[in-house]
Amino acid sequence: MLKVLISAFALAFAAPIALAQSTTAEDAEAFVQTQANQVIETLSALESGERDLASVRQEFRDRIDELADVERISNFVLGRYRRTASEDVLSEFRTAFRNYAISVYESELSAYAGQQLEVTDSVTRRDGDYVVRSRVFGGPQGEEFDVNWRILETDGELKAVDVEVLGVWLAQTQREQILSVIGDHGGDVSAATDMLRNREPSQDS
Amino acid sequence: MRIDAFTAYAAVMLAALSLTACASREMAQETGDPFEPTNRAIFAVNQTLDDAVIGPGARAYDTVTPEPVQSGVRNFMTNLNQPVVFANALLQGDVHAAGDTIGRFLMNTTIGVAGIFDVATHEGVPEHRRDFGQTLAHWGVGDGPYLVLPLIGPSNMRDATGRFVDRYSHPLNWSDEESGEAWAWGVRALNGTQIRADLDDTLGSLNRTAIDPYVQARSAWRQSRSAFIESEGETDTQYQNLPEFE
Repeated sequence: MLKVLISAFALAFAAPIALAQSTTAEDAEAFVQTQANQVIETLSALESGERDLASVRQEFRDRIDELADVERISNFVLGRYRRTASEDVLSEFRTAFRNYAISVYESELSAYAGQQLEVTDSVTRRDGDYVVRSRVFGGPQGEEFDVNWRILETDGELKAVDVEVLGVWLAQTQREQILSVIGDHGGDVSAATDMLRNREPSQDS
Repeated sequence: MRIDAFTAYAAVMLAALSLTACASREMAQETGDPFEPTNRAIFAVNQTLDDAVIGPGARAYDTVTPEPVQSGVRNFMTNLNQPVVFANALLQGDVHAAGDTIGRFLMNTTIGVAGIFDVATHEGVPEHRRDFGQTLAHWGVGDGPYLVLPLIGPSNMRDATGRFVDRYSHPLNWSDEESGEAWAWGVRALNGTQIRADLDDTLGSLNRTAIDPYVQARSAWRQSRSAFIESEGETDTQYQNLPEFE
């Protein structure tokens, strides 16, 4: 009887721990390398002319939720204003931010020129929160640089929420811009929504 | 009387700061940018100059200059800056980096033909990057208000001061007479053109994705500068201060 109780107790407490640690730093590294390989494969097909830009754009639109936690990023960039805006205003902002994020991605597709990415190592900030470090190389001028990925676990799935290139974190930079726009308009989140709609990068690049 | 560029910058900045000090907003204070209206005005002028002259000039230079020549220009400019690195390495108490730097300078200036060829890296002598803004940070000086300098771009009070001080250890300024000569300005212009050409892809990408180009430049520069200043003590703990994503 005692053994059964102990086992039940252990199971009851072990289960949440197992859930909290359902991913590891190795999983995060593998996630980045796998996603990067798939993106590079697609971009190589675009570069060689095997695929056209329209189909590649569509693929990225379809896959963005596998790569990035867009809702979490959109909440992050709103900062404290997320708690004061109405749900309708927030919903409009999230849609505009999502379209903006996709168009940012798309605007850079044509810039690909044979670069490769290799994961080097990672740092675990806490359970389910990782910084995966990688090296980009193989460009036309032989340039090499570090790219770091902030990977978070949500409901057992790993997704990117930020990326650092040359010491600059993309989502942090976007957050400062959006908070500045909202601050300049007396805390009106709709001003940032309008700005995002107007600033969506060109689709023609 | 000859007025050099930094004296002119200092005069412009003082005038600009005095005009806008009263216009500072509470939010600008929060963001460490109390002179935002003036900074934005200088940023706009810089952008206009870049769109009209500097950017096209750098792209034309990049088109007509073969990569080996550009590599030689980068090496030459880096080598010319080694006395600045040496002085700051000493001021930061980093004797090892100072030794590497003087070694690189002597090796590249002689065997490397005035620094055009980076022989030292080939021989395994590491390159260090140091400036007086970083030295001030090393001594515990805070960064101060954000500033946008004419032509140069983003900076802050500490690093603009550092830039001013660094000119005294740079070989182009060792002689008052020579530093104002046309050839010296030619070297400075070539250096600026090479830097702008090297940044063209990055700046193009930033411009395409900006929501507010001014705030984007401020944020990107601050993060990049902070990463550079902290790069000496880089450890895994550097990521512990990253923001939370709720």
